[in-house]
Amino acid sequence: MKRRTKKIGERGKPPLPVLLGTRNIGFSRMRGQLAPYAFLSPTLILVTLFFFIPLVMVFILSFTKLDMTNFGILEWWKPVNWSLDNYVKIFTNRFLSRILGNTIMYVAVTLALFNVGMALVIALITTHIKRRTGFAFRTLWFLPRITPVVVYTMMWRALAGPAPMGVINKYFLVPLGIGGGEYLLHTHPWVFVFLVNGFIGASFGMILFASAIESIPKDYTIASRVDGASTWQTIRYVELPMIKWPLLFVTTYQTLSLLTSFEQIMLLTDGGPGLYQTEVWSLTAYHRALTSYFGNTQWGYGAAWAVVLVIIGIVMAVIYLRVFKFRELVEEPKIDQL
Amino acid sequence: MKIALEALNKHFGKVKAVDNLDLEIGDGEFVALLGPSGCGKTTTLLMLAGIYKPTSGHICFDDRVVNHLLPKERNIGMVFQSYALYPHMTTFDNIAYPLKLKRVRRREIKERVQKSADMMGIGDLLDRKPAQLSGGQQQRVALARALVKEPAILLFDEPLSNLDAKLRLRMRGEIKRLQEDLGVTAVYVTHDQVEAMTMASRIALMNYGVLQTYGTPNQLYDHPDTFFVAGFIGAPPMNFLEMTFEERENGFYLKTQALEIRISAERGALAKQNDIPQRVIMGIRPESVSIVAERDGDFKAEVHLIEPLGREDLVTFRFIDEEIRVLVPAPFDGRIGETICLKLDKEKAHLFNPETEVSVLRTGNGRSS
Amino acid sequence: MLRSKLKPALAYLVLIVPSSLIILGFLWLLITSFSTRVEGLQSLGWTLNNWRFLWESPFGPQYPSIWTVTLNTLVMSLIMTLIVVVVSSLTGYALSRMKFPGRKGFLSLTLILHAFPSVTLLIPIYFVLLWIAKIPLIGRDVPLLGGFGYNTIGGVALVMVAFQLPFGIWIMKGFFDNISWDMERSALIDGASRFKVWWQIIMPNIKPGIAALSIFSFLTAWNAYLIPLTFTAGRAGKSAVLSLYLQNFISESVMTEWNAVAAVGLFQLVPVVLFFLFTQEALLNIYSGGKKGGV
Repeated sequence: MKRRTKKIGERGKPPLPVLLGTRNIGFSRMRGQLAPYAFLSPTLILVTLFFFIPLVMVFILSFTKLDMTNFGILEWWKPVNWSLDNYVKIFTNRFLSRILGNTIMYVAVTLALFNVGMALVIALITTHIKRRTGFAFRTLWFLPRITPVVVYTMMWRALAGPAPMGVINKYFLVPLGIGGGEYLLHTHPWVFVFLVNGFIGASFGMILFASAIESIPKDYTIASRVDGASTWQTIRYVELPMIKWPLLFVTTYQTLSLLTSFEQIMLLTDGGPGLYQTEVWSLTAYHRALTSYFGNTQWGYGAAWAVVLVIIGIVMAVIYLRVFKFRELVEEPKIDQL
Repeated sequence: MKIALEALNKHFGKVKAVDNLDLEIGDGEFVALLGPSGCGKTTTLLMLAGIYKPTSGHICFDDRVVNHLLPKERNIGMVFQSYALYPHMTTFDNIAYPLKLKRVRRREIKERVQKSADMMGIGDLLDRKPAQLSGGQQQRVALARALVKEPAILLFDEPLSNLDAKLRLRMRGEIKRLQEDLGVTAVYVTHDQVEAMTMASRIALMNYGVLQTYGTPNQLYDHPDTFFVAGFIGAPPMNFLEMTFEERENGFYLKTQALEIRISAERGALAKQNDIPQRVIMGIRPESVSIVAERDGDFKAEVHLIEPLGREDLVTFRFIDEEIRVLVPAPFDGRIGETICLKLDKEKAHLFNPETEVSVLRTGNGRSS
Repeated sequence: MLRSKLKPALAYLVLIVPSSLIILGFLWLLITSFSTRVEGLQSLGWTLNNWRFLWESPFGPQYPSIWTVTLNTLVMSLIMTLIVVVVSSLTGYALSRMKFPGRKGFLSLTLILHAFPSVTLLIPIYFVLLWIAKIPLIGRDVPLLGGFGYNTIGGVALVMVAFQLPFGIWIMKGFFDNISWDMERSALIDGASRFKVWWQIIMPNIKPGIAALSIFSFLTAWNAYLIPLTFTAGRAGKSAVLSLYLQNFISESVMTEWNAVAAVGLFQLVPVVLFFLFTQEALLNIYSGGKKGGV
């Protein structure tokens, strides 16, 4: 083949006027390279404002002894006032193991039983019964999520209340002769921590799973039926494998949600009724930083608790991302930036 | 507009989708990029369109390097296999979209959309949405949209493969006629060699990202450069037999257990000049084999399968361990199991080196004789 | 035969027993809101008194009425929803469809951000909002929103947007993943910029996804508690939302009127339940299809 004799410059540096109409190639090309960042910029701004700057501040605060009494006096931004004391305090705290244990138990049990387990059960059942009935059940399970959290926890306290006021005691336990009609929140606080959080958490997975199941092409389930599979076998061998990715996503996302959530526990038991009985890590951070539980609001000390939690969360997230091979799942875009 | 690709490469990670491609396309030419799926032909087309950025090499339109031009700056129109119509827009809006983006005045848009729609015979479907159109109509809308901005280059990505056979045949003719009328340069990607043969002025045959050959349909059909080209072009495909090459005092011979044929001194000499190995692959097209009376035959074979094609019948013969397919005028009066005498048109036999898969009958300029 | 019937029965039991707890709870809530006192589900005296906040301001005329507060809540929820959808779809689009260095890292990062506990960031965010409040034009005195700084509806919405973003981005990315590449390529060849492709071609074709994310975000915003509580001054200020209005009835000094709390809670709940009933079909599109990695 005859070679073009015209010299063509270095790669990426065409020597000839290359544009058909416009002259500003530099600008045009640069704009192409910057386009993705333009799309990302709103997120970048929000993330910087509400995640990164706060995180850096929390990080710095965690090395200081800033609290309500010395606010405005302590120059917390000066490295002179930084020390590891808060961290030493955390790791020598005699309740540390209890709080850590509580956190693990809270996340693991709620996640397994409700946020993933119950969510999957509801999603599977409601997509296999009459459509209207399915919709009714899902609406019912969505109620806890959209009920004001104050009212929602109040409702659970009423359910758990002592006889004769408490609904569970009055209609179930007392007639059956179980227990002495005590305030169930005092006798079984953990059960209610799981229930209260789980009933809210389940709806997230429920919606995603139900949606994923509905989006499975009907051909697959019909084929499975034709092959003679029962409903259960169809679910087990066709539908579950096909909703693998929403399952992984919900597991990851909800682990992190649970790890950082504390509103319901705060409103329900506030870590009690026994000393640190239902106190989880994020609640501790809140207590130390924002309530005058033990005297002053210790912003620095609370921040240290928070930083440890952030680190735990990031480590968990990274482990999940690795285990589920999220990076490999991300498809390469099929259009290049010129 | 002329197109030139120079040492073009596109790598996806470790995969070389397009490997050192050189190609020149003349102004107003209709070139088909042909090859099996995954051969790099669509990748090449998308680089022409400015969708993919070459890993290295140059794309030139009329001697200008356009590597860094955005798709919209390249003055091209493209028709996709899936038609890629915008589902939320009416036919009119679909066709008008390129003009709207160019800020053409409203009245002119209307005129030009109507003109291209009429040209494609869809002038009365302008207020329908794509979902309300048949496959053929959608295809026409896609064509009208590609043509409306009067591009210098038309790109086609397997545009006919989603149509039924009859419609495909018709559109084939229409696209060809349209391209000739407009005199626009066209690059047409297809895996269907019949489509390529009938439409293109030149065919670039690719495999594994490498350009196998580039020539007119007749060149590719009559003088395939490589074993791959010979096997890919032609339907029904070429027959291949593994044979032994021998030079004797009275000429050049090819033999197997079942047959022995003598080839002309001129071709034999050419083969020798090209270092023909002892074992070669002989290729012969089904129409280059004929049924003859016993005394004229090269060899005998048993009728194994008869496939009537209408004008001709495709008959598969078996001899010893080999099979050979022959096109015979219909109706073929032989019976399955019958033994019949066959003769090869030796001047149309192709010989390939089994190691390099290159034709040993090629002449100096790279084209096999 | 018995075995084959046992499994579905067991499944229904797993669904119905916990469901009955929800029914009992909400039944109690309803009865309580219309009662002076209750014992279990038994009313010890019916009354409309708990609902009087609807027609009179229970804390005096200087406080905003329930209707102002409802409007605030609606505005805040709509603003938050709008921003979440726009920002998530911009980012989701870039992560799904554009090549740039750090793309995969950014995608992982969005998920990791979710691991940042909102509680821990509350104090610093307070400072950030104070700082935004000092920015002219957007900081304060924007009509309807108040602005985007501290103690404004816009500011609260913005913080909630940030916490909703990781979810929104992943959901939207899944929808963009499923759009045909040829359609986008075609639009680029037709002369559109990436921004125009996004707005004119892709967005109209992921309406189900936009609808689903909007519904989810709206429900989340309507019900938000901790963030409005932290970032608006005073529970009955001019930027109070329903979940804070509720807080007015819960006091440490005076006896809490739990029955009124139930009524206000139901008042807040009913519109979104209706909303959910009518939009559930659309919300069920939130999963974008079988493609892996989409969510």
